[in-house]
Amino acid sequence: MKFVGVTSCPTGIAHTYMAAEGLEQAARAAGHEIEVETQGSAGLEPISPETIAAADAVIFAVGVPVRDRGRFAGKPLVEADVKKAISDGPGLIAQAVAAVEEAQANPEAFAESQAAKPAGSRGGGLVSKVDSSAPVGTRIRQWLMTGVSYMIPFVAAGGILIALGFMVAQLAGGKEGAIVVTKLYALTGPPDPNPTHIINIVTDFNPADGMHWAALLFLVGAASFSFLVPILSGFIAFAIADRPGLAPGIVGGFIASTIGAGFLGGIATGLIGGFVALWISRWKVPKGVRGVMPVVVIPLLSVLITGAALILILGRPLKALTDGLASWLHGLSGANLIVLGSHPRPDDGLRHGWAGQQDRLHVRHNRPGRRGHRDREHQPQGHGRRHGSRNDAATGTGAGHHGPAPAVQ
Amino acid sequence: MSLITENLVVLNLDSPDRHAATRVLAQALADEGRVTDLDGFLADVRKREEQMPTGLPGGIGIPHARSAHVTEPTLAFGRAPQGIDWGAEDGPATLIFLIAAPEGGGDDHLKILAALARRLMRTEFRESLMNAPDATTVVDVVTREVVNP
Repeated sequence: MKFVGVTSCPTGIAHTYMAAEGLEQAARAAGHEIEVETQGSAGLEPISPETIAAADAVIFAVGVPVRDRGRFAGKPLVEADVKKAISDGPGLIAQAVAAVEEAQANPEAFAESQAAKPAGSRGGGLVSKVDSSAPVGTRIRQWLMTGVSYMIPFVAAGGILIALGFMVAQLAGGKEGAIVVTKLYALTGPPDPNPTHIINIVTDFNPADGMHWAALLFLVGAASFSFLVPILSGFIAFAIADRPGLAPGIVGGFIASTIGAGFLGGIATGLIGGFVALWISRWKVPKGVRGVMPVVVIPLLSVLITGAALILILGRPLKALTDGLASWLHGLSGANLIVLGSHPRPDDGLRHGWAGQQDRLHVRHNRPGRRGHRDREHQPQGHGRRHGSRNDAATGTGAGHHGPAPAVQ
Repeated sequence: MSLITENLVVLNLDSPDRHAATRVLAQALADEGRVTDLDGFLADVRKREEQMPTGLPGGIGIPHARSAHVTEPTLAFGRAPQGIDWGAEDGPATLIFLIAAPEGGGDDHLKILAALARRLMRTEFRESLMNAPDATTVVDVVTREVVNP
């Protein structure tokens, strides 16, 4: 059989390596293969994921918790004190063989026992790419890459759906279809029963109308895109502070996205949210308070601090920077804006060509992604303003006019 | 610099308990200039020893510490023919390895200690140390097996 093992001990200079040697000798003597990761002080050489995948069982002989334990999830596991591998390596190997045979003999019971484990120790748990012993520069890169890697599915889904939406819109609506699909349709109803051109595709979906299908694709894609910055920010914070980082990171990212600070704002809120959450979670608090720390105190304070920092201090300079970058890029090529992402503006490349058309329709130069499709573009300016202000008063949200709920976009 | 020298080998360790034995070996480290503060180093070793005694089956004791008072990775070796209780279940230890690692040691140095720890698991290595007639032989065996394998 093939095994993988991890050994560790408090000091990391003696038992770790003796235990590894003990396991290797015992495995060899019994005719098995084993690769042992020594999580000691002499540099960590992680076992490759392929080797772990090929292993029949996992042996932990440890004195301190296994690093990145999630990598080994889903395999029969033998866990023992590090000394056991030194004094009785053959015994541990025999236990591992027994664990493999038991799992093979009764796969259903094994699957159940795996499912019963807490999420963090399973393969399905959220993982970050961060190696806590790496130098600072590397860690910053790893934080950012963790955020990016969780954002990618949203980019993929949103980008392809929007592209499909445009394609269908051009087929169904002709040359102007791709513009119309971004302007005329929304997931919420018009704010006012007065005559309007906005079509709520939730209540008024017409399967026979190709434009409705195009709008469906576009709106779902746009919804996916509206999560880019919050998810990037949230998982940067997650990489820094683990679970407590998620709430301040995601909320901060949403505010960054709402106020137009874009990806730069999202990176800032990810870093701020992560470090604030990490800092608060390390407070030494009385035992009685400890229970409510992760439930109330850390989320409350970290979300408040991150959000306030962005709104009061960083929001304006970051928005200015993002806008500056965006207009600079716009000068180069309109279609590339999404790379810097002041916000998803799928129609951006087309806008200039259609400026005249928009003016004729009294369309303000709204960014559909930012203001939401329920904006009253196709009404005369005066009406649009009136509705806008009433809408703000009615919803009464802090984000107000510029912050429709993410599900809407 | 070498992992072990003849002055760091004590072939007739007859201390009454493991703390006294550790002090004898640590004194040798201090005399060789490998440890700058004897009591500080002993406190570090003791702290590790209190977490869990480092006696192992087969008559081995491996007191060890990473300590700011250590100048370079060093091994002091003691042989106690009458045995000293080191907390192992199967009886007293006759081979004592006091491993001293500097606090912020570089990877290469720590790899030597890792190699040493692995050799301790090999019966031939233990036997040749058990049967070594003098300190020179001990240094030769360790150097051959661990430093220049």
